[in-house]
Amino acid sequence: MNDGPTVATPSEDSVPLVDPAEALRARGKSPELAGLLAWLVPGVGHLYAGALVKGAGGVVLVLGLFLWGLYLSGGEAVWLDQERGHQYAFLAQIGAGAPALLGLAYSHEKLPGAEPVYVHLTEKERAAPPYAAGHPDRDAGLLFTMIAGLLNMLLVHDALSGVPGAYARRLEERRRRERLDALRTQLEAERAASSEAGATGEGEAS
Amino acid sequence: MTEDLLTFLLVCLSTAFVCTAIKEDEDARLALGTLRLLGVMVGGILGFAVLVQVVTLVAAHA
Repeated sequence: MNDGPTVATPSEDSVPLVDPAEALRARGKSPELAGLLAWLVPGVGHLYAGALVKGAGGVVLVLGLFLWGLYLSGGEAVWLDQERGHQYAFLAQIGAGAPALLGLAYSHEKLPGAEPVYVHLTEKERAAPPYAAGHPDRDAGLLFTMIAGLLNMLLVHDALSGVPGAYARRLEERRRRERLDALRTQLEAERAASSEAGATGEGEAS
Repeated sequence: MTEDLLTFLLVCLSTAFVCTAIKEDEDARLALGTLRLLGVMVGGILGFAVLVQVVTLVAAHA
């Protein structure tokens, strides 16, 4: 019989494994609203769900990266116009929610009180290839807003799932432990049965 | 140059943070995991850049 150290750790076992979305609902909060907020403003969905460090990190890093990209591009990183921007990039940028929509409104002159730089360009400057004529950081700005949008899609998914954290790992560890325990029990039963059969055989032989 | 370096670090840090945040829930593990992944990313990218420079240098003198 194997009396070696067991795999189970009391601290892990004492944590009840409840579905994270259900756990969030039990605290009176909606995972759907968390996902919507996470999309609207990066990090805010996690703040709503009570994950303060993740939320703060999302606001500072992901929203910060998006805003930094907007700054590098002079606010003109988000376009739906192929002539001046790259409309397919919008599919990634839209992951950042409201900041992307605001950037889009700014670029397309739909933001009241704000005029994009290109409005003041000459006809010749406007006719030049957009990224060559503009400042050289426009490409970088476009790229960083895309990266921020894509990263935020991960945060949105995380918030929609109820901010599961290490739930999947704990669940897998617990299942592995249960499989090991079942195998150990089966092995012990087989050993007991075989030793019993051996004892019976010896008794009959004698 | 400084701006480029800070931008590079910001991109790496944001990526490392998000990729760690979706699989950790304890703050200490989140911070450590983020720093570890940041180290791997920065080290890997810089290492690859150095490798490219060395190979280019060797090829130019061959």
